[in-house]
Amino acid sequence: MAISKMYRFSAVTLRSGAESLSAGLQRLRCVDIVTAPTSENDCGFAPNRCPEKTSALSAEASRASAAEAFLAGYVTKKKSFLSAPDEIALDSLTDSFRRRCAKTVSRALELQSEVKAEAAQLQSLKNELAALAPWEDFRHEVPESRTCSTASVSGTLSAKINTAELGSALTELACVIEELKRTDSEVFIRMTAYKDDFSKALSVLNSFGFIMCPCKATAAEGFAEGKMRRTEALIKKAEDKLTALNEEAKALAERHGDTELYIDLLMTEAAKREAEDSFAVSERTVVVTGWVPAEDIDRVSKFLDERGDAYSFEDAGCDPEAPIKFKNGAFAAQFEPVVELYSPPAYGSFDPTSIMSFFYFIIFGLMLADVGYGLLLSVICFAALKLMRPEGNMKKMLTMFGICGISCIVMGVLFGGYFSDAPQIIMENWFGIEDPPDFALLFNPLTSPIPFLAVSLGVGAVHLITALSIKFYVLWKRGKKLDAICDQGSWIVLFLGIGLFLIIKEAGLVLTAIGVLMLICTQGRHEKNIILKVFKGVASLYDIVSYFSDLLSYSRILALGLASMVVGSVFNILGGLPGLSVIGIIVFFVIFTIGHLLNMAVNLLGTFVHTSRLQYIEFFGKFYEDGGRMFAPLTPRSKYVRFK
Amino acid sequence: MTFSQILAEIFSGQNLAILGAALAATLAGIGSAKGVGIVGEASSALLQEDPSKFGKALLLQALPGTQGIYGLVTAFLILFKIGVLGTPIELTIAEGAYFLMASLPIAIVGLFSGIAQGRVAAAGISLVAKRPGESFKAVTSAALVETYAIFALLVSLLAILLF
Repeated sequence: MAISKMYRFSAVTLRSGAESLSAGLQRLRCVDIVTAPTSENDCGFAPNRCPEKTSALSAEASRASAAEAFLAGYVTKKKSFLSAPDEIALDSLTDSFRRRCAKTVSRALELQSEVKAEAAQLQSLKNELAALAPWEDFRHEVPESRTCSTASVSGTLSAKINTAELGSALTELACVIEELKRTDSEVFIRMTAYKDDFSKALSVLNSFGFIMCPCKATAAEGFAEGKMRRTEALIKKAEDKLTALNEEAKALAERHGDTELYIDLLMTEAAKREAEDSFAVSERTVVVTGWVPAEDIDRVSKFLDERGDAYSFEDAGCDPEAPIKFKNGAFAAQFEPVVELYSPPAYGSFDPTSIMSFFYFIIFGLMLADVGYGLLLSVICFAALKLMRPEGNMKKMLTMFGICGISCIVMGVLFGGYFSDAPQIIMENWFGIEDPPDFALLFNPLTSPIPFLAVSLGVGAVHLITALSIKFYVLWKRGKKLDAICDQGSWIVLFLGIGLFLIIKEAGLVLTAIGVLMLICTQGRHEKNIILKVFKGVASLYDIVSYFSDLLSYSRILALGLASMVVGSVFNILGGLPGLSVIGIIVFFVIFTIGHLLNMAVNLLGTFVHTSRLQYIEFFGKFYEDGGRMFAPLTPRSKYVRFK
Repeated sequence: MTFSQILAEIFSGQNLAILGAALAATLAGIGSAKGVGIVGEASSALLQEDPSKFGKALLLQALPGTQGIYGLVTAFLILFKIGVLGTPIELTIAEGAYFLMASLPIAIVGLFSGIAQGRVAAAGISLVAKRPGESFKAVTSAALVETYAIFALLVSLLAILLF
């Protein structure tokens, strides 16, 4: 009904024109390209796979992403996440722009590795300087120095070391230890020994926990001090270099936006490349196949005529492969994502979106019948739409919740929910009004739950009968008129009878009896045996239990509505306890704001999930045929900007 | 004071009603805590692999939390009705027992359905991990479990409101 009629599309072009064809189709955004038949089906065509191009694209894309991440660290003007993405005309992006972006990416990646290397270098210089610092005052080489007959080594020992013990351990050996400096924790020493004894002396020192000076400074370098000055100069240089690199990166970050655009361009190209993979090629020609919705055929033909390609459109008929594109009015279209979340309908089946949208609207409002919450929901959703200008399902969902917010407002007025019972609590606590009036136009579910339960079940009954009627309509249209009357018609008659019974007893009773009779007579019609016929007919009445349980399922409308009202009222009462004073008003607003935001968030989730559930299980369960695939046309793909 | 007097003091009408409120909040709360905990454990395993699925995992984790809220709603309604937050009303033992019994559906069903829903939602986490596009199906099947907690809440609420 409200699913676009699909046409199978195929076109043939010269191999040289393949890329411009796919690029053109990508700009048209209305062809869902599928794999063309190839030699596997013996038609002389080979698959048009080109893994080199694909991998080159993805390599460039990952380089661009790395460059983007690097440059993002240098961007001074951050974008707010609420702002809408820029709109860019795809055709305005020239090859020279691409080349410039590719250069930016290369330079950014070079800069990244240079910055990394320079920072590492700087760190190691700083470490060296720190290691040299304690040795600055000494005019000898560290860690080791040699003369022709002696060798010396410098290093540290723990300050807690027993020097007498060390001295006695070294008495046998021809060596001297100079204590150069002593701090609280360590002793700086220099040990000089004859070459023959040096290694032994060193091992004795090591056994006392000797740590050799970790850095090197020779006489030629001007000992530790000279080396430190040189290192300091090097550090200065490295720092200057790093600053220069950072400055350059900052300047390059001016082109961060272009890099984002470049990533999107590459993504778009990858999408095009994927589509080209599904082409079939012969020596000279390329075959493209896909699906086009009926409303876009003219645009596609015009484009192909201009190119001079051969093409054909073929009615999909009832091909189960055909993808689904919803075609609904402005209101119902916003509810399409709900249907999609369940599972797209099979091609050629009934699209319930428009009928469902009406019930969704009503039930959502009943479950969250509150003017305050509805207003907040609508304002937030419509503001987000205005600011972020999202597209696709995100846009539809936000609009849907905004619309449902209006339903909540209407129901809130009917059933008296204004942030639960905030007005009454304020009147009672601040102005001392005993027994404040109820603002409900109809009745308040908290004080009269039974009428609200009746409303819930009433909506449920209408919902269920509508579902049966849809099944009736679908069967009738397919020519299964007998099935429609027997399987759906008799139940509809039975339920209408029960409904009528509540108004006019006799007429209702008669209608119910007709329904029951119809069921008994028809439900055994597939059996040959007369006893089985009757038995099956009577047994079918047992199904009333399952319909009854479906109906009772709608009592959740009352339960969820009450839950949100009571919790909201708890926050109002807690907030109202301090009474009317400056502190009292502040406390009230703090508790009121936090409490109601929390309650709204929790109940919004519950309302969304359970309204959807009533559609999915109770409503769709009666007639829905799922298993379709959503229409996925070849379009420019983007993450940061929006291509026009 | 004799033992029987002590018993009579403890099991006053007012106290029985408060016991009902306490049971509703406690048992349903335990159910939710366990349920949310089960999903939380499953989802942190998923988030190690792919932190970007936090939103979807959080949605599933929030689902078994509603039983606790239903218990809370019931508990507060009882407290309102017996005037704990305003002027207390005198309850006979039979009236107190009425509130105690009215709290039982959500207390008991809340406990078990919270845990069961947690298990379904935790299994749904693996659906989110493998096919994030289908995650709403996991939400729907977890919501099916909650139905019975909603029915229990309904019975409890109706009994309390119609007192």
